[in-house]
Amino acid sequence: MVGIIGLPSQGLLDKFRGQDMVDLDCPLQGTLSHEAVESRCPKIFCAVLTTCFTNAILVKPDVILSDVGGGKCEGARYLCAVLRDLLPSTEIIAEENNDSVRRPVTTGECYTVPLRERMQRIVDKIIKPDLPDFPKSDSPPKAGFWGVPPRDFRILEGFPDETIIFGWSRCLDSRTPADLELEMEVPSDVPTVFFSQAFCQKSILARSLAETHDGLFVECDEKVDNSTLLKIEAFLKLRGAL
Amino acid sequence: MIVGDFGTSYTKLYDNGEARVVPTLELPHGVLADAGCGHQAKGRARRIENELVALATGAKALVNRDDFVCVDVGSRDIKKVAFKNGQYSGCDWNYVCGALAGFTLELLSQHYRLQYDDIEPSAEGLPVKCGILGISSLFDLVAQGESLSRAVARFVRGLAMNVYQFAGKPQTLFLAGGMCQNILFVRSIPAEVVPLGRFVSVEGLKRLLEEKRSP
Repeated sequence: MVGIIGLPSQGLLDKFRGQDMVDLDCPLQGTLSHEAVESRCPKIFCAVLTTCFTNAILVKPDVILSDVGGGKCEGARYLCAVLRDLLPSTEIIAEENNDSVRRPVTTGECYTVPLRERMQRIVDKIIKPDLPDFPKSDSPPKAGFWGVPPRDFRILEGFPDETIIFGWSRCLDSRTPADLELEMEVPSDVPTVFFSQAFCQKSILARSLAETHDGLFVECDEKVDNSTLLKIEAFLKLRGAL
Repeated sequence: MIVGDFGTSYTKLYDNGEARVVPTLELPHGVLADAGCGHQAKGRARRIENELVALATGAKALVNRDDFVCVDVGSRDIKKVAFKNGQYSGCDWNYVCGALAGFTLELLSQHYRLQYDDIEPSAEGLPVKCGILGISSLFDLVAQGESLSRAVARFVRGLAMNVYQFAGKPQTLFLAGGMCQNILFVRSIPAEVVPLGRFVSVEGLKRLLEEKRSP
C-alpha cells in the first residue's frame, strides 16, 4: 500500500503506478477520531495534516509519498519527519513537487455538476489520474470558491452549481501545486468565498485576496460550523449568486 | 402578517401591525410566524430566513446612506453587514465568542442590581475576550478596590471596543439590537453611534416576505 500526502510530483507517482494507493489527506472510512495520534499531535494544528497523521498511523502503508514545501506546506515536511520515527517499516519519500506544466483543467468550471462532486473529482484524480474531467460549461460562473479542498466538504454544499474553483484546488487540478501565480488568480467580478483551513499558512492569502476582491473570508477547523454555513449563504444571496 | 426574530433571550415579534418584544422563554405555545429568523426560529416560523440576510435587508431599508456598517449585538452573537455604493459589500458573524455581549451585561446587571444609565463611561477598557473571563477580571478589579461603577464601566468599554473593532472601526456605526437601549454601552463605543433599535431584522423579514409574495 502506498500512502499519498498532498500531490507528489508526476515522476514520483509514476514510479509507483499500478500499486494500491490511498490518499492520506482524506478522512478514511471508519477513521472518525484522532485518538491514535493525540499524544503526539497538538490540538491546535491543521485538521488536514492531523488527518494525514491519523491515517498514516492506522494504515501503516509500505511507502508514503509526500509533497512538502511550496506545493503542500512545511507542516507536511515536519509530519514526515515524525512519521519516519514512528513508522520505521514504512519508506517515506518526502520531496518538493515543482511540476510546472499546467494541465488544461475543466472540472472547476463544469456548472452542471455540483461543487462538492467536482471537488471530490479533483481530489480523487490525485491517485486515479485517469478519471475523466467534467466538461467545461459555456455559461459564466455565478460564484467562486477559493482554497484547498476542505477537511469538511459540507462547506461546499450551499454553493450554486455555477461556482468556479480557484486557489490551490485549481492548482491541484492543474497538477502544479506549487504554482503560486495560478493560486492567486481570481477575477474581480465573481463573488468569491476565500476559504482557509484553520492554522494553515495559506490563511494570509485567503484573507488578503478576500479584501482585494470584496470576497468573503472563512476559516474552518475540522468541522464546518453552522454560522460559517449561514455566513456563506448570506454572502451568496446578498451578492446575487443564489 | 406575522414575522419574528426569535433570539436566544428575546423574540422581536411583528404581529399584524403590532411590534413587541417577548422573552423567548415566555413565548406563547403555538406561535407560528409567516417568516422568522434567529437561533430559536426553528418550529416557530413557516419560512426561516438567513439572519444576516434579514439584518442586511432591514438595515438597507432603514438607513438612508450608500456607505455604512450596521452591527447587531445580540445575547450571544454579533452580526455585521456592510454596504458600499448602495450595494451589499460584506458580512461577518461572531457566533461563538461574540463576548456574549447582551447576555453577559444582563447577567451582570441582575447580579449587581445595576442601572447602566447611571454609570459614566470609561476611556480605559478591560480586555474582554469572552464574557465569562471578562466577568472574572471585573470581579478581580472590584476585589482589588476598584469602585463597582468604574469596574463595570471598564468592562462595558471592553465589550464596546470588541464591537467597534468587529465593525471595522467605522466613523459612524449603525447599531441594531437590544444594546441600543444600553446608554453606557452606546457611549462607550468610540464612534458616532446611530441606534436603529431592536426591529431591524424584523423589518428585513417583512420586506423579504413581501418580495416573495409580490408577483
